[in-house]
Amino acid sequence: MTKSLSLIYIHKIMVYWLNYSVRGGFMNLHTIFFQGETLNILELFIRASILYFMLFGSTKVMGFRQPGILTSYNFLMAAGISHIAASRMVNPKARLVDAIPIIIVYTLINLFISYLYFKAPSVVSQKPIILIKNGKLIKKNLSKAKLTLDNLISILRQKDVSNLENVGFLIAESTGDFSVAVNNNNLPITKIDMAMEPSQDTLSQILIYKGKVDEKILNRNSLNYDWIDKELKSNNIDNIKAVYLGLLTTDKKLYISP
Amino acid sequence: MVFGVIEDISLVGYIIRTFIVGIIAFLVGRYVLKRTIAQLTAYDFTLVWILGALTVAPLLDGKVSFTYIIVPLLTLFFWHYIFSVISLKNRTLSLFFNGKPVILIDDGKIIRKNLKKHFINVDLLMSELRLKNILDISEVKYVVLEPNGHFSTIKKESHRPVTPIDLNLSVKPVDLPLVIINDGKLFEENLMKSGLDKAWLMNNLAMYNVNDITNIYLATIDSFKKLYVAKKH
Repeated sequence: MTKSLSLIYIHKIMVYWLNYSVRGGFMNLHTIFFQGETLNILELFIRASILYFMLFGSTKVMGFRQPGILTSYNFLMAAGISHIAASRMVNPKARLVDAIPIIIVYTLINLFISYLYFKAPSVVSQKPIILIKNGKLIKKNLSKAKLTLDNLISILRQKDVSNLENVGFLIAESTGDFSVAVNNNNLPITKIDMAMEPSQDTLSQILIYKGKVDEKILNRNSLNYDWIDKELKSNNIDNIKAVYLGLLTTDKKLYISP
Repeated sequence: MVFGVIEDISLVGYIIRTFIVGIIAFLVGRYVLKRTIAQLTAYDFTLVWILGALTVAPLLDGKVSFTYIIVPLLTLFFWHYIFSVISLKNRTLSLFFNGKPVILIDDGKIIRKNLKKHFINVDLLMSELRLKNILDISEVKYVVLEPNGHFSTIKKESHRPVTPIDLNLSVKPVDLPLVIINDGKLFEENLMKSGLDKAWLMNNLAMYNVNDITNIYLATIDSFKKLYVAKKH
């Protein structure tokens, strides 16, 4: 109730402020969109804000693979679109109306290429290149990837591999990174090697956040409030409101941070 | 003629502008939040990519005055700050701004719907797993696509390295050694924190054939009062 009321107030104030600024001559919507050379500071602020929100929206639409720069084209797209937005923010000659369709079309192209990666990977994606196999260099692929021997040794060092003979595979991925597989007998001993029967676990989940319980997670793990109360009591906490973070750990215990 | 909108900027003007841009770039780097540089989420990502292009704009064109970059810079910092504060205060909005992590492999099963949603094909998934030292997809229990586009992987229990718990071994607890001497300078408060004094230090340094602190480049001490000493040469 109070939340929606305050939202109405904020809206009213913003509309009033906008009207006031436009009529009072502090800013002019026409100038913001169509002219760059006569902008005052307030109008510059609004132009930059609009561009920033557009860029934020476009990054959101492109999905998580964009911030992760999963493929080389993500890199070019990021550099390109941010440069477009930046030059539109600062260049007096640039008009905001031009920038808006450019950003939208650019985002759509990016989405289309991402879609191609999923639908027709053979057309767009590069194949991973195997550089070392079973401790032996593959010269042909090395020249294909345009890597010198010094590059290669440097990559191995960065991957904590000191001896080339121990490398089972070294692969140049299409993402521009390198993956190394060390021969099995140089890897840490796993539980399966020792024939151990490990306990099963799951991902840890945020169950309580600032005193609020996430009911979905509670139900999914077939737990109830009695169980939470019991866990709280064993940590000497009376009120759930005092819990800043309650993490359901991998072995189904409650980690509590007040 | 350095400031303002200039049609034909002179070489000297450009050089002076470069110095000013250098200072602005330093200040931007100094005051940008650490989380931005780590590119944690979409709004960090947007900011970090635009900052560089924005800062150097006065060098590309004489007509771009400093007002035209400082106002947008402050605008971006303003919005980024607002986003960060809102994210801390409200979880629902935070999940919208930051994005929710997406589970790609749940308990060994590939969730095709989520792969499709983020346009990740199997080749890409396998590449990312290889980057995490997982060659065999059957060894994975969970794969989570984080909001910053990175993949987190958790192996199945039996494919994890053996730990001291499995063998019922007791090992010494993790601790961060304290620096007590750096480039010949003694940090007495760190020495006090370990419950020791200068006399003890000098006694122990004698074992390393050192009797002057200024001859030491680095000395650290851990919670078991074990010294590490690196001498100057």
